[in-house]
Amino acid sequence: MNYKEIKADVVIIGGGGAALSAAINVGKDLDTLILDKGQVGKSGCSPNAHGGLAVHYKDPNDGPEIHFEDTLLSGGFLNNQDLVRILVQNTSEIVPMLERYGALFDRDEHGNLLVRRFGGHRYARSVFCGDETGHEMMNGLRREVYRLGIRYIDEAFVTRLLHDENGEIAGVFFYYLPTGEFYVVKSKAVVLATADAAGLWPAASERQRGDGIYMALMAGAEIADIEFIQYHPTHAWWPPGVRGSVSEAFRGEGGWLLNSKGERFMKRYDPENMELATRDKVSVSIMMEIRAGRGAPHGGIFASVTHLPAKYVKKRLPVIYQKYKNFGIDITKEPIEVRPRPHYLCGGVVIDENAATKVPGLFAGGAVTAGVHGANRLGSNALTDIIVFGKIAGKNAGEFARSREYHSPNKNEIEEEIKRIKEIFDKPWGEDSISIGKVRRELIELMDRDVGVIRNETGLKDAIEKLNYIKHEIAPRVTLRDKSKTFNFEVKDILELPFRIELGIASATAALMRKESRGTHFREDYPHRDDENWLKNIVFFLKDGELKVETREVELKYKKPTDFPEYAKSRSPWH
Amino acid sequence: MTAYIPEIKNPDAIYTIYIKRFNPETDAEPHWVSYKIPHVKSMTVIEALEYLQDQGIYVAFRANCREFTCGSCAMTINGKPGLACMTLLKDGMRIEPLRGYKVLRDLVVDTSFAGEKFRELELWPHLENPEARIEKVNMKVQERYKNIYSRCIECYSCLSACPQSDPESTVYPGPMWMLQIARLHEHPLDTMNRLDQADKNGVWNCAGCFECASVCPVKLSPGSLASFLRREIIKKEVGL
Ligand SMILES: Cc1cc2nc3c(=O)[nH]c(=O)nc-3n(C[C@H](O)[C@H](O)[C@H](O)COP(=O)(O)OP(=O)(O)OC[C@H]3O[C@@H](n4cnc5c(N)ncnc54)[C@H](O)[C@@H]3O)c2cc1C
Ligand code: SF4
Ligand code: SF4
Ligand code: FES
Repeated sequence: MNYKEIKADVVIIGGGGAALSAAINVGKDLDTLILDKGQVGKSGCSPNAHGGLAVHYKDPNDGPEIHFEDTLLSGGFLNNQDLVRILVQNTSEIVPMLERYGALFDRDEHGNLLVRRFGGHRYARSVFCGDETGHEMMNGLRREVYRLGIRYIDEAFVTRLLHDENGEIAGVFFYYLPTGEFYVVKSKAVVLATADAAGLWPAASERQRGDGIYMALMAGAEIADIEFIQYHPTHAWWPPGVRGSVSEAFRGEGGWLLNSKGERFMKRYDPENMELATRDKVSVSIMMEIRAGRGAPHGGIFASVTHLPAKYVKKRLPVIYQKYKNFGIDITKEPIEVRPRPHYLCGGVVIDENAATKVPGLFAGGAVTAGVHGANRLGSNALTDIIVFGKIAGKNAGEFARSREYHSPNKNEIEEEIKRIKEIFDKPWGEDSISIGKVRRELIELMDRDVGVIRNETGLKDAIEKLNYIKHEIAPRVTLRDKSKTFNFEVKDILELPFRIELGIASATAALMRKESRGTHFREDYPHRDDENWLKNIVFFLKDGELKVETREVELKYKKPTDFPEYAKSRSPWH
Repeated sequence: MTAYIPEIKNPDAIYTIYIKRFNPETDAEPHWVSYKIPHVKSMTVIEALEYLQDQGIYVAFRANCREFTCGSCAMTINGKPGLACMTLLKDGMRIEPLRGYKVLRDLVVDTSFAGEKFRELELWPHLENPEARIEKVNMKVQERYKNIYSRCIECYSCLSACPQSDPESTVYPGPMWMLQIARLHEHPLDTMNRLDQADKNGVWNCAGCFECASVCPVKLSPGSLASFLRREIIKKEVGL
């Protein structure tokens, strides 16, 4: 079999914040190699996070304990409380560290860090740098990676984790996009930092495709909480050139949400708060309208400020006004079409306090994992998560690598993977061939319709059936048209297909099992939170090559819902 | 790399665009190919390329964020560098790879020089002590970080446009690098002599033509930072 073999003590998969934080902390005595499917620092979500990094308890009444509680209340108490503890106890040194790496956060004239408050946080505790917080964080991390001289390979698409004869991690397999060559990297420890899987749904950009979650599952790790997909309620939807979220400010400044009849439909769902209802409620309401056939022409809903004086709009909503203006649209004159769009999958790979998975030698950190955010992630907690757990994953992977020799990756696994990719290239375009673009679209629309904002038993069962049909009848017909080896992005899309299908089935299965509503998971046939039966995580794993699922009681180690009487009394899925 | 967009069902026009394609496995030379694209208002170059992918035509290009923050999708559009995710599509548009760099395939160019340059110029703070901390920041510096330094998305458009530099250039590395050197010069924790570095790296060779500013997608003027560094050098020399 034709492949190149290289070696590294520790391999880090990913090029976002979690990956770089891990790489920096492995230790200088070890040879660390970063493999990124895109380009380090430009790929993933990290450079695009705008808002903030929840790390600074500026208010004297604020502190780790309160941050801890806020995170659990948002997460519907499905969080792993030990992980949340670690998260909030490791915040204080993050800013000084990133600034030593070369970043700089916004301060006032006395040198005090400025902070923003995000929904669900009781205090303003998120530091920022203008609107480019994630970018500035990466500005720091990248420089440190350069300074340490850490090796990296861009456009290295890891498609499989490799075991030794005993089922321990022995390396990874990657498809090198620039040349189409196959590589095996022998390594003593591996860190997964490949982000979540929100791209299974109609995300505005498919940065998150579930690679790591799928690969970890296939390699013997557990995955959990993947029924919790967070949608942002008012994302730009049509026309297609304009992107990004239409921020809460739009509604805050008096913007209306209108259906195709021109009605302010929020009066049906939350007459008291109207457009200012909570995020999840707005998402559900919009999707209810769309489903009832009262949506806008392209599948969204109208958002309008045309009833407000143009001068006021320009003054109060300069960013949104300018954004649309750049694309030739004047929001003071015409309504825009918005829609809830997926933002973050709260679940992922199960890790312990050392960021270790069930598989010896496999560590994971950042958005690829489960446990920190429970059933719903608080804004600006993700960046904290990736720095803190990236670091823990890197450190422990280093320690593991030091205690161990190189093991030989299983030849069969390598051969299987090469065969799988070769077959994609060798298959000629035939009569019943189908292009990946079509199948991808089908899958995304299916997930959005039946495993999206509003779920019910019929839809979920239907989704599982269709996903299985696609898996067995359609996927085998998908054929690569372009057989070239150099930068073949079509083959990349095809290689991602199993992630989409398998994780889609798992997510729909978990959503069907969870007969309640909690956090981002809303079942219209079970619209209430049910703490009696559902303070549980739904966990998937392979056993003898078969996918198994099981529910596990959450360990309410430090805090339980009844510590918050008002929360415990309410059966609302949302906090 | 593509994103999900709702299907374009009622285009307001059919545009013809031209893409310079090159596949090193089959082509001796790059060549222009024309494509028909259904157009709707506000559509950008990236949606045209994604539309083609949806049809099974994979023109190779890099992109990630689609929100002009990652800097991956710079290419030459109607003769000028620009971001595919930001440039509105026009009928008859001509799209080719970013000029000045080796073309690897279609619109993908070799950008590996960037990481090397970061290391060569040691663009990280050289700390006085490993525990150094920022106590206070000059408000002007703070503003420049927020409005200039942290907003550069390293798309390399200015490097492509600058008449004084090219990737192999030894006399002048180019505008983005001047911005990066200025960034470190102003970083409160950096102790390295960045003015000296700028001096040795061709800061005097910027011609002040501001081609760089005219193409920067986020509206920065990196060439102005060459002027800034020169002023700082002079200030220091005359002992001010
Ligand atoms: C637009 C936007 C705004 C946001 N704003 C905020 C905010 O204000 N505050 C906040 O806290 N959070 C925010 N988030 C969420 C946050 O940015 C992410 O959750 C976080 O950055 C994830 O970091 P990560 O390192 O785990 O993954 P990412 O940064 O997404 O990186 C994943 C990396 O893995 C690589 N990869 C994937 N698959 C493979 C593979 N098979 N082989 C090799 N490499 C692979 C990718 O190329 C990428 O480099 C935002 C997210 C988005 C999209
Ligand atoms: S102003 Fe200077 S840096 Fe900018 S394009 Fe002209 S020569 Fe290059
Ligand atoms: S200065 Fe502007 S054009 Fe140059 S790399 Fe930065 S963002 Fe791109
Ligand atoms: S895709 Fe990120 S800048 Fe265009």
